[in-house]
Amino acid sequence: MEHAACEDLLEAILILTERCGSPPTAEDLAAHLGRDTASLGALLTDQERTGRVSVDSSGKVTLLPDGQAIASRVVNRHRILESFLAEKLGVEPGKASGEACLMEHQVSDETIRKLSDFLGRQGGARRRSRTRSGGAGDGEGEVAGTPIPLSEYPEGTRLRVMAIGNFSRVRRLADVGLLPGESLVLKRKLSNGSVVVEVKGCDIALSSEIAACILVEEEG
Amino acid sequence: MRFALVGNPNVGKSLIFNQLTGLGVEVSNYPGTTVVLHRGSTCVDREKVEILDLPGVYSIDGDQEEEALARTILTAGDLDGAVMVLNAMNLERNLYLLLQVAETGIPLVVAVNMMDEAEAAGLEIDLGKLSGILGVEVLGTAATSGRNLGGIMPLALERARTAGVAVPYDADVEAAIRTLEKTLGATRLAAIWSLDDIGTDPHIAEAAGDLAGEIEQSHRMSVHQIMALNRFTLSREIAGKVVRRGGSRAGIDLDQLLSREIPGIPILASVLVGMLLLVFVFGSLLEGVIVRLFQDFAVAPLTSLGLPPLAGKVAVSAVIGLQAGFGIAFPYILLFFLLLSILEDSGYMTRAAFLADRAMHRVGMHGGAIIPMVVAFGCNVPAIMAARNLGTKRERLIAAFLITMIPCSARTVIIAGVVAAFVGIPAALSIYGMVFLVIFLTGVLLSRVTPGGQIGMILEISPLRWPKPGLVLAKSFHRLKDFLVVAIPLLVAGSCILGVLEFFGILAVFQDLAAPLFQGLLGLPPYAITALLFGILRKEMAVETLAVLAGSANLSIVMSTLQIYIFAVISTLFVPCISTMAVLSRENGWKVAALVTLYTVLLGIGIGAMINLVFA
Repeated sequence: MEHAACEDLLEAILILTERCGSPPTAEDLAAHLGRDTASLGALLTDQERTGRVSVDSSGKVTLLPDGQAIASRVVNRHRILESFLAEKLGVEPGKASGEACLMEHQVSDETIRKLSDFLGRQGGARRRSRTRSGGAGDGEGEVAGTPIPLSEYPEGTRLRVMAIGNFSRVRRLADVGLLPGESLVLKRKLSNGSVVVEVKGCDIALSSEIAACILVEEEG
Repeated sequence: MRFALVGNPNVGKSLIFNQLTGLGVEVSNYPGTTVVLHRGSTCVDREKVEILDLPGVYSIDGDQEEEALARTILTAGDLDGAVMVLNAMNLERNLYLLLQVAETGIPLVVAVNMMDEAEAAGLEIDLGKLSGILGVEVLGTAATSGRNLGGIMPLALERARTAGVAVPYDADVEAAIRTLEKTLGATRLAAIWSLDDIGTDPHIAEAAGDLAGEIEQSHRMSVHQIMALNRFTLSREIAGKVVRRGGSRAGIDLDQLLSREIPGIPILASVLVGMLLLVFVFGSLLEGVIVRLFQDFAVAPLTSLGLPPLAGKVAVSAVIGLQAGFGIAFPYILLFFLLLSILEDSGYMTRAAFLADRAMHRVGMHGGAIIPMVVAFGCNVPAIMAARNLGTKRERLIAAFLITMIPCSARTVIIAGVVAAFVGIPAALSIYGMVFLVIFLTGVLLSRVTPGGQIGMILEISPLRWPKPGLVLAKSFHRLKDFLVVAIPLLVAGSCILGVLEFFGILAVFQDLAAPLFQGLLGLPPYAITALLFGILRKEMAVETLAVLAGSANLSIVMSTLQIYIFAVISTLFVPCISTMAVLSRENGWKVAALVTLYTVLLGIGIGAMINLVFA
């Protein structure tokens, strides 16, 4: 349990640092992990003593090379497990993330490598991990980039549909060609999230709630 | 012999149908104009051929009503064949539907329509090669200019045959199809449809459900999606073989302006207001001329003729009825239909739908509902039928309810012909503003209380086109025909009856009964209630009755501006006409129709009374 808690902590430092662009404080970490500051403080002191993290005078926690390596490895494992659970087993995304959190500490390196190979093979021409995880990857395995909703991209981007969330049963979407693997151009995006996409040579207007469920990747 | 026209929405089926049968079916540049099945016939070599115009669909395995209708008709077995109408501009997606239709085994011929547009866009389509791949006859057509249309039916009669292409489905799906064929003796089509969850045989459907479940687990996709992918793979392959893209001419992309919030929404608002202003201004010019002509050359000579009292009363009433019909109603309806047709044919409406999506969500619908609502400005009856296209029952109900409150062309006549002409254009616009506000508030209310869910907008944006004058005129006159053939005789007959009733004093008795309510509460002359009641038959009748009873089409002589305004507000809001109620009750049940009646009566009288209270 202690081992899992350390890894979770290091992982959280890495994630929060990347998300905010600056090192987190102990309070940020406690809030992120859902733990009380007292027990977290003990853990932090422990990690500081083993030379994995450093805490500066203003309370900001940064990763030292040792800690950075462990954190990257855990983040990587988390991504692989989560994408396996969600995409291949069909576990609901929120749950997949939660379960990946538990499994990431126990699973062997070999299993992770095999899972990563499996995902890479299945994904076919799927692109390498995108910028968000770019800093963390230190050569250990190739992780598929997580698809994000259509409406997050700027107008004019050429995209490929990776998955269709809640609306996969809406047949009209498939009929106009909005299917996994299809490429499209985001032609218009209104501030309310409604979009126009060009798919199969036609412009199709979509309500924001539908656009939010179409997960895409940028096409090179 | 009987053939069906099948194709994607907005590929020109209705236009081809009109040209072949000489019937007037509404044609527009947006998807989903045809919701009901149109039948017509034509003669080929002295043989009568019946033609069915199916609603435009993207597929025949969808869960919407029009797709089910297309499916049923294609497999019912009483068709001799189908004419597949494809859009040359977008062959890949159109072939998707063709591949599905081909699966039914129905004899086919293919018309690749919009060849003129494709040529202009630099697309070269090898029709011979397409015919070879599909194994059916292919004809290139251009419906707007009539090119090759005459060739379609003779070709269908002589050469229609079952297509020679079959979609190779995913290995697991094919295995499931074979299993169903072998174990249950299902046909390939029945097996495919059952796996796709649209099968009709419960026995096969049950087995197919289990198989589909397994496939979905191993593929992480619905069988529908897998099959759709397989069909698209083939249609892309075919399109790739027959279409050659030449140098395309890059025009100005108007969508840079039209589909953005700025300046799109201001443009949308100015289009709507501009349209109304044009109708008001030019309509009132025409109205003045026509009313004066009638006055000078018909009403005045007739009154000076010295006919016996009853005959004189009836004759004058009939002429005033005609005067109101042609003078007050006709100019506005004509202009309105012309402008509406131009707007519809331009393809602008789908952009309006896109921009309005957010606002429509507020009232429990989505942007797609704009289309029936715009149809409603012409006439509520086809609009309620078009609302069938909306995804869920809840959306259809809200749309139908709100559509009955939209000022149709007849109500525009009241607003334009009476208020704009006698009170002023700002006053007329204020009625529109008020009605829209009431519709919006009603929609917000309805979206709170109506049970059911909604799926959002998935709407194809039509290409922008210059409306063709010939087609715009044809459509406007087709719509106008209803006014000339049904409304005008009704107006004249109604006027005669009114004349008789007035002559014998029956109206006076009735009006005395209603007088307290009308004079006290609404400040209207008693004969206004008769006018309002006649307006339920047809909204134009309200104006006409008022004119007959007031004894003049120049209403400003007999009523104050406030009275005219209140009269127009009430007749715009209260109870849609009889035909609208009939269609509403057929589509959504008598309870909804009764509720709409009650609601609009209370609303009309309530708002009328309020205006009277504040301004009188």
